[in-house]
Amino acid sequence: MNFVIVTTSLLLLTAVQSRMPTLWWLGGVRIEFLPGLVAFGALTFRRSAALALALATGFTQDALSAAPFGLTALVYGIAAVILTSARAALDRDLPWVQMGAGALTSAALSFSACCVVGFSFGAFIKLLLLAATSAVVTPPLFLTLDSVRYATRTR
Amino acid sequence: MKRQNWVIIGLLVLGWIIFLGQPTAVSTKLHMIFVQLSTPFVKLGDQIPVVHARRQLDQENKNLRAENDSLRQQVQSLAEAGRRNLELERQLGFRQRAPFRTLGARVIGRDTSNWWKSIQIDRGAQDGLRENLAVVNADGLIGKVVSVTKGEARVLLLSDANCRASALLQDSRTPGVVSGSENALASNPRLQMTFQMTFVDRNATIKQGEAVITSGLGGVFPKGILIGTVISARVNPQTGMYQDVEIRPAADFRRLEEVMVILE
Repeated sequence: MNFVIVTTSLLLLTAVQSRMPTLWWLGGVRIEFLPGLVAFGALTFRRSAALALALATGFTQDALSAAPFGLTALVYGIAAVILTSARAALDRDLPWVQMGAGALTSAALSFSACCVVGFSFGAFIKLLLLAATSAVVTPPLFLTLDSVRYATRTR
Repeated sequence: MKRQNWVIIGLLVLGWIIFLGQPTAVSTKLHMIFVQLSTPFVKLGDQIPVVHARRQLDQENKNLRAENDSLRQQVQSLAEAGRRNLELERQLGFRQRAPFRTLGARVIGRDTSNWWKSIQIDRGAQDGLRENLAVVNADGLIGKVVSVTKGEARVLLLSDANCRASALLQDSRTPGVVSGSENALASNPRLQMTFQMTFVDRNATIKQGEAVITSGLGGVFPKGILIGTVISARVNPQTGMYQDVEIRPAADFRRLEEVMVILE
């Protein structure tokens, strides 16, 4: 059941992310949901499943982007490995842990993108904005996916 | 971190370098699979109806009527100019240039990443699309096709820093290279997008509002497509050899819904 929930979430969140408009009041960035999904997988499933989810998420995101194919998958994969190894010291149910995991995954992705497109002051601000928006959307994502998992488990 | 984690990270990096860091058969096939898996979900967004406020529709209608009147006048005057131009070209023995053959396409998705600027369109290889075809809309140049699957294609927008077009200042005929510029968080509160035209002769006289068109060099973008208009120009402070020209794009890259691919 986890596989169905996570796969459906991945495809729906990717579709939403690819249709989201840029928000001028947010510095011209578009809200990203997929770093939150990777953080959810890394703090919820065992390492192999979390890594598979991270790679699938990265490849799906890259398939709908002009980014070098596989770059996002690589970053999400590394983030998943690091988060799963740090999981023992973290309480995944705490909102700030979820926020931190989402923000770090997003920041890692932005950093790798900057390595390709170039670093600048504007890019640094954009990195911070993206990390902050990912931090904000991650706890609701955890709440929703946990609720769906719980609901399907009790039936 | 445990040694096992480092081994996994090392394998990920190695796998990426070997199979995906450059275009290979593996990366192309994998790319195709993920595009075809995710595109049906992206197209689902079309099913969500968009309702505009009546006041907004009235205003839009009024603007379109005014634009229509002005365009009809322009068409009449341009038709006459076109006829005269054809006659002059015939007299001078110019080879006749065929008009562009275009194919309309609908935008079905934007770039999922915030760091690259591209759109996905609902036309692909089965419609005759291939890489490096120019994409325009009614306002001007949009970008070029960078990847194609059977039924969809990805268009790299001119606003992306990796997309460059050889250009001409229409009045002074001064050449240069136009590329997108990352000016988010600029002083403009509405984040007005601008392009940069570089390698422009430092002695050229550039007028504000002058049109910038494609030069036809490079083989991707045909000559004469409007890119935008000049906002300002200044000599590059670092090299002092060229002028950097700031351009306001003709097309609104934030509201792309329908585009045309130039097939020939």
